[in-house]
Amino acid sequence: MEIVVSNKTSRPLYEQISTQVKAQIMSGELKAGEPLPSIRSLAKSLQISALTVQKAYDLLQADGFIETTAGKGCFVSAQNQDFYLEEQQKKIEEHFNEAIEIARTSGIPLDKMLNLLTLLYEED
Amino acid sequence: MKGVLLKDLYIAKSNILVTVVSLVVLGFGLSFLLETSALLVLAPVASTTAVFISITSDAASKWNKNVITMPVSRGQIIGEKFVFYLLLAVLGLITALIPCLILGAFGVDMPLHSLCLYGSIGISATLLAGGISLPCAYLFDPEKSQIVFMMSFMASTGIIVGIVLLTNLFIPVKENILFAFNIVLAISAVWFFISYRVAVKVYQKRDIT
Amino acid sequence: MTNAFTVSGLTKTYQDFVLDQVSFAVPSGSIVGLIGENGAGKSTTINAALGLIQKEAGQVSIFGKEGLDGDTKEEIGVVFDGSNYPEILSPRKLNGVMKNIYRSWDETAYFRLLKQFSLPPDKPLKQFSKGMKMKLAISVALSHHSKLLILDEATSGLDPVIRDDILDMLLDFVQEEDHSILVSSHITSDLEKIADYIVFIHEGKVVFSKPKDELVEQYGVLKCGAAQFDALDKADIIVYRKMDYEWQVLVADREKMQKKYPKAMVVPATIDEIMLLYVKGEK
Repeated sequence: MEIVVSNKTSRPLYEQISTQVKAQIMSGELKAGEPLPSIRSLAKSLQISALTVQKAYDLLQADGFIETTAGKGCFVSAQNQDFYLEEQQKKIEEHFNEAIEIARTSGIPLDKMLNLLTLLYEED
Repeated sequence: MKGVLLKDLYIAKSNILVTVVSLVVLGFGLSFLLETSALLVLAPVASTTAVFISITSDAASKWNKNVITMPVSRGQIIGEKFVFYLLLAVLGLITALIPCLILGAFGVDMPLHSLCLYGSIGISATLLAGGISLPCAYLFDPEKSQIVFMMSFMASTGIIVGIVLLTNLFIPVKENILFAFNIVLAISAVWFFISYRVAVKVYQKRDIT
Repeated sequence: MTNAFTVSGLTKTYQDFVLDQVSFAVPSGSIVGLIGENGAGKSTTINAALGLIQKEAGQVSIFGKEGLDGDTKEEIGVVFDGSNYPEILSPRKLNGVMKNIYRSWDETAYFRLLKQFSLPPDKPLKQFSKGMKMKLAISVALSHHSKLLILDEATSGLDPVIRDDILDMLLDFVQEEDHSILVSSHITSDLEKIADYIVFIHEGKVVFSKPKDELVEQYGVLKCGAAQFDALDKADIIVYRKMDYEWQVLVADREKMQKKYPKAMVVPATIDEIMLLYVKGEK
């Protein structure tokens, strides 16, 4: 597992961690059943506070990406990821539909929309 | 207390060695001028400078602060200094006895009576002086402690003279000289002990920064 | 969560300074950073809590027990600024001393730490550099099964490399969930990295005691001109400071504030900036 975080960007640290772990789970780099480092050892390696890592892990657990077994630690969970992906895609579709509505009524063409989408996606 | 004592021994090691060697040399050297046994008066007191070195060293580092955070009570902290003082005095006495005994074995006149008398005076003076200088060094400025120490030694000789004169009012001292000085010794021991108790009491409420 | 260390209502009066009802806690397993200017009362608080100075009022509870007895002291490791031990001693001699002071002294752990931090066991401390002395003091604190570490300005004057080593030592210490640390420091960048909570003491009082993430991720500095400043909702202003060309306002939720006042500039606040605003600003 690789995690790259910075406290100099404007995104909260816990979000950076949970996003990266999620991405690695989705892409298959982290497989189901694989153990995650303990909260404290990850905090130590990243030289950040354990509370921050706790928040990230809590978020991952709430979204169904990891499971915690008392005494054993945190593991990548098997189910729910596809379901989550589907849910997220549905949300994107809804947002896209809204944007398309606005574009159509204002006469903004598709290629302009695509450019805008590309621009926004690449900016962080 | 054992750990703290060990620390002080480490700190004062070289001083103690120097003192011991000097006393032995002095003991042999003095034998040409006067009774070697007279050394027994000065030896205990001279040996106690190591305590003041340790007190100064404690003040220079943050030891005084640190030791309070350790499982050592304030009573033990003060007590250790008094114990260290006593040990050094006894060590000084024993060291000074070495030349006396050796010379005695070689036939030099070394009456037991003088040895006891001078030893008794030496320890009494040391206890009296310590009872004044130890609390002062610990509770006040350690740098002034050397001066306080010397002054208290002089004061203690004065006190001894005073006690002996007082005793003379009740018992003729000349006939019972050893007895008189043993009274002095007992009083000095009590004085030393009281000084320790008072120092502990004062230190309990002290702010250490 | 239980607290490893709690002070409540700690009060001490000096001629020109009063420690006034200081209260905060160090939850078990956490790192709490104590910040404040020189003379704000950080060391006084620690001294009063450890029984070094007499307190006039207040309670101190460590590991759930009121007050400080010998058993509790066995489990507390304290590191002060500067020379903690007599300089004539070497680490090896110090081991001999500590062995006879702490029941739970772990000689093996101590020498392992000395090796880990490249501290020569037989050199007298007076030949150690400042950083080495500090590493030694921390090694001692870590060698008697301590559960609570208290560092009072222990990293002042140390270079970033040594400070990084020390941060690693601290993070290692809290790998156990019942190990906690209270660090008092000026070097807020270190605390920004590893602290879980920050307690800010100013002029003898606790100004705030907050999770560090809240300060770093939610607090912000709103910068604007005079007109806009007057238009601000007073409830949003924590403290403010009038500078030569702008007004600086500390706000608790920077995202919310940026949306509410889109014309103003709202930026993240470092802990130093938060502290400066409290100290030099007004309510």
